[in-house]
Amino acid sequence: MTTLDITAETLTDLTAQLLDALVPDLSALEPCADVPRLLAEAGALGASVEIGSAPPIEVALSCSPRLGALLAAAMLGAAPEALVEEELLDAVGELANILGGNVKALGEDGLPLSLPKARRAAPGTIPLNVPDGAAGFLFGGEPLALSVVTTAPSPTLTTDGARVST
Amino acid sequence: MRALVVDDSRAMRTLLTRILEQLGADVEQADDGLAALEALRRHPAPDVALVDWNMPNMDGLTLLRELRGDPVRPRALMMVTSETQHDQMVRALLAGADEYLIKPFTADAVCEKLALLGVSLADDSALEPAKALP
Repeated sequence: MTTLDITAETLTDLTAQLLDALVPDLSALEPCADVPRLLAEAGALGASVEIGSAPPIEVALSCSPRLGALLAAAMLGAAPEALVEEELLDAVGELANILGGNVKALGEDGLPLSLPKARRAAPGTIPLNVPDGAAGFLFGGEPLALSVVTTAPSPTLTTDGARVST
Repeated sequence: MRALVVDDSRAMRTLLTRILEQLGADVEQADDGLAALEALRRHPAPDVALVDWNMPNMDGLTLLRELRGDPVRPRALMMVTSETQHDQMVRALLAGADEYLIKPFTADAVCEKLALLGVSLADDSALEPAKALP
């Protein structure tokens, strides 16, 4: 059995570093409990990677299409409105890949990291990759949800640090 | 400077290419290890290849191993990855990587790593000093 220790604070810090490197001009992450509703209304771009196996730990992020376009535009050096779906999903997938790699470093050596899977959820549907216990934020005024989940019975992400096992 | 960027993410390839072109590099791209091998066999070896670890078809570690002792090997190989664990870095170095760049990275970090590799930069003042990129 392999283990991975992570707190919501650590996940937030890793994400803040990633976002700050990408779009340093935007504001900091602001905790927001209303993110699942905001993503359900706006639709969402989501991506996830898996760490380990049997069962894997899933690291996932979901954001509004507008935030996804802003982040993709920063990576691609293009205007947000000029991006096509493939570019948006690729960029969000790469962000999940980077976040997953950074989270994986908190576990034991040798855990495999999957390729990212990215998807879009239409407005009015239940957003993908936003499980119960996901951490919600506003970044630049746009909703962003982060989660680290497994099929283990214990809570996987708490403010005081939960142990996730696989 | 001639560079090859190998990453399955178009966004990441574009980002690295922008940084390298700001430094005056002539950049070619490949979206996995197999495509990189094909590119290396088509053209003279570049000065440096920046290689992602986690890719479909052929990952970066396999590519590095394939290039060991191969005349098409770039003069310098840099692994660019979110894999930050010590054992991963050791594996990459043993497979033939000359440097290791962790995502997210800044443009300055890319520049510093290239300098460590002794890759001559046409214009390292072209980077905006305060501009950070992942």
